[in-house]
Formats: sequence, C-alpha cells, structure tokens
Amino acid sequence: MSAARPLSRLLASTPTASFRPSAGLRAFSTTPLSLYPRRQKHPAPVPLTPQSAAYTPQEIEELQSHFSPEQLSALLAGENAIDRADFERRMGRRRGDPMMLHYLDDLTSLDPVLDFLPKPKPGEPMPRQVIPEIKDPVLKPTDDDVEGDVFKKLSARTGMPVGELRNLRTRLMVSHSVTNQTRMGKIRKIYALAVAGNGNGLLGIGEGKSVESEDAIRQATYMAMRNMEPIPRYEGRTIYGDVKVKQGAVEMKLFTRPPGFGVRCSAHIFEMCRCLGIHDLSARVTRSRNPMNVIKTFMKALKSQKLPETIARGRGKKMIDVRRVYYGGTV
Amino acid sequence: MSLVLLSHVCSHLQNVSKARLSATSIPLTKLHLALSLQLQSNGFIASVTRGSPAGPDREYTPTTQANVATRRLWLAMKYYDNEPVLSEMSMVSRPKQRVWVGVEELQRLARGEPAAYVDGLRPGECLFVGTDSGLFEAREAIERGVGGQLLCRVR
Repeated sequence: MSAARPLSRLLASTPTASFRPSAGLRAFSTTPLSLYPRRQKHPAPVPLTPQSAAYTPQEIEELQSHFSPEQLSALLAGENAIDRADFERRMGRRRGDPMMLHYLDDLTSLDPVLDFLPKPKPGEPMPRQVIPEIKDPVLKPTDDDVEGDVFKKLSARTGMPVGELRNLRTRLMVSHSVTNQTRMGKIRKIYALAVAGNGNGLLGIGEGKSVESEDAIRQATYMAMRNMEPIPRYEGRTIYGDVKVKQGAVEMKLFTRPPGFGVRCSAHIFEMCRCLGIHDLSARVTRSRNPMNVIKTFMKALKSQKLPETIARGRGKKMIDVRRVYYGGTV
Repeated sequence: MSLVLLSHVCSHLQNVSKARLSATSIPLTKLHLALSLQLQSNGFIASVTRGSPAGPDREYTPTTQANVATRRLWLAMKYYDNEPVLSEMSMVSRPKQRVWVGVEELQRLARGEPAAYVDGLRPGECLFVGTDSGLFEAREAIERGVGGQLLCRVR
C-alpha cells in the first residue's frame, strides 16, 4: 500500500484476466498469441455506486496506522478532488508475470531450518571499496610533435610507461593512395593502416590519412597504439574454441590448434598474430580477401571469442579445463 | 520421432534467441519434451512448462484426445551478458540421412575428433543422442554405455 495507490482504489479495482480466453478461438498460424492482454482503448465505464468512494471506519483506522493525521487529511482531500468517473474509466493494469513458475515454498524469506542464516557480526564495519583517484592528464596538442612528445602523450592517455610503448611491435599493413573528387579536381591522399601489439595479449589497429605518406603512417601507428586492447588467449598461445565471423563481404573461420602447430594463416593475419602473441592458429578466409577488411574482421573475431567462464556462468554449470587439471597447469 | 518437426524446433529456438524473446512455445510431443528437459538440465533454457497456445498452464491440464493437437510446450529462454545462452542449434541427423553411432564414436566426438562424418564437439557444445533408454547428452550416453541416433547439437 502506498500513497500513489490508496486503499479504496485497491478495494475498488476489478480483477483483470491474466490470459486471453482461448475457447472458441482457432489458431491459424503457429505464432503464439501474446501472453499479455492488449490494452483496450476505451474501456467501458463501470457504473458508479455511492459506497464505492466512501471509506468504512475500519479502512480509516487502517489508513491511520500508515499515515500521519496531516497526510491522511491531505489524501482524503485529494481523493475527494478526483472525479470518480475518471477513476473508473482508467486503464486496466497488467498484473503478474504469466511465465512465473508457481513454487510450493515461499523462496523470498530465509527458512531457519532449511537455509543457512547469515551470522550476525556485531561491530564489523561495512566493506568499503577504495575510490580510485581521477588523474586528469594535461594534454597540450602542439603542431610540431617530435617522437618523444608522441610517446609522452600516449603514455598519459593509455597509462603505460614510455619504455613499454617504445618496445611495442608495430607493423604497417596497408598503404595506398585514395582520391576525393571535388569541383576543384581530384585530391589525392595516402591511406595507411597499422597494427600494434606487445606480443603478450594486447593488440590494436589504427588508420591514418594524409597528403604525406609519412604523416599517414605516423598517424596510423599512433592510433594503433592508442586503440590497443586486451585479447583473451587460451594458454597464452591460441584462441578459445573455433570462431566464425562475417563482417561485410569477409567471412572468416578461426580454428584453435594444439601446441607446436604454428600460425598457418594468410600474411596479414600472421603479422597480427605476431603482434598479439598467438603461436598456434589456423584461419580460413572465404569470400572477400580485401586486406583492410580482413584485418578489421580478424580483430572482430578475436574480440567475439566466447570464453568458458561466460558459458559456465550463462548455463549455471561448472566447466573444467581438463588439460590444465591433468597437466597441473604446466602446459 | 519426427526429425522434420525437430528441425523446425531447432530453427525456431535460434530465431527466438536472435529476437531476444523471453519465452516461446513449441508443439508438445514426447521427443520435444525429452529434449527440452535435457536442454534445461544442461542450462540452455530456464524452464519447461506445458500449456496451450494462450500461455503456460496455471493448473495441471491433462492431455486428452480433444486437446492434444493444441497442446504446447512453453520454454523460457536464457540470456547472459547481453548474449543468448542458446545461440546455435542444428540437426545432425536429417530425414534424408540419419546418423547412428556407437559408444566408441561418441567418445571420439566428445574428445573433439570427427567421427561418422560428424564434426567433433567444441568446448561448451552439447550433442543430444536418442537411445533405446531415452534421450541423453553425448557425455551422459557415454557414461551409460549406450549409442544411438545423433539428433541435434547445441551451443
């Protein structure tokens, strides 16, 4: 019971049917009917009775146990102000969940015999999480960025030390000229796509475009280092299960492989595996083999791996890596 | 044991997962009931309830000759991490080509190796086998030492 739904409304509300009546209806399609009844646009007005709006003395007494005298007088004044006809023509409420299972036990409360009751621990403070401090890096973009400045900016953005950034493996994967046709004529630019990784689970791809080839490559490399993100790897050498991904016209299948198999893939995927630190993998690229799209699709495929923990949590089942258990984590 | 109806159920459940529906209904047959209960015990679906086209039964309704054609099985789908728990479900045996295997071949499949022109099971994948003693998941059938007809694989 709440102020939004006073007692008289609860008492006056008519029970609504949970399901639509099925008698006399013939189903001509396999599509099941909606579980929820459709709201009627104009429900028929319920005939008013003088006692439906009034409170009995017991109801007033019950209301007094919930509200202070000032609140109660305000509520009653509000009730009187509302036109009864409007109230009776209100929309029917959806009640309950038709898919709800009907348990014999009340599972909302802890049973002192069947359940483990939480032990009271007096005097113990609530566990508190340390709120991380926000470090706002002061970034001042300058026109003439030398190499060192680039790494300092990257370090401030990614939180990685400069030394680690310098040791990243970066590769230029795609570079070609592109043209934009304007009314002034064709404007030629160079497009570059680079990948970066630390060889130990981080991989990123970046794109750059500029009139100068060098500038485009530098932009692409910078963006690749900035976009690096952690990729899950099974035993630090291959992927979890087989992955099938389609993006645009590229269709790709990745297969997990045993230790010592090697990376038997096309050149672009091979280079990305080197950057990421994957040692056993085979891949099949069907349909389009456009280098740019293959690289983007491979990244998408790596990110769409379904991890065993996710499967186990989703199914509510315990999953064990037999390999790791058998070899005691030494493989 | 109609494989046509079963393949309809497979594709229907895939479509339901893609549409992110919370519940759906399939025709009530003994095979579908056994498969649904196996799916539930393997954690792919949340609940199995008998019902009618209008919705799941609130009270027990016996199946009679008058209502047997309209009886449905209501399945509650599961989603975790914004992804469906049951995302792929496909037939292994088809009406045109049924596949029966023994225990040895089931063991090879469960180890992830191909057998009887069927691809091995991937991590987290389940294969359901119809045997003389009931419908089981492949690993349970191996435990019981029974082979049978490979019905469908789910992941």
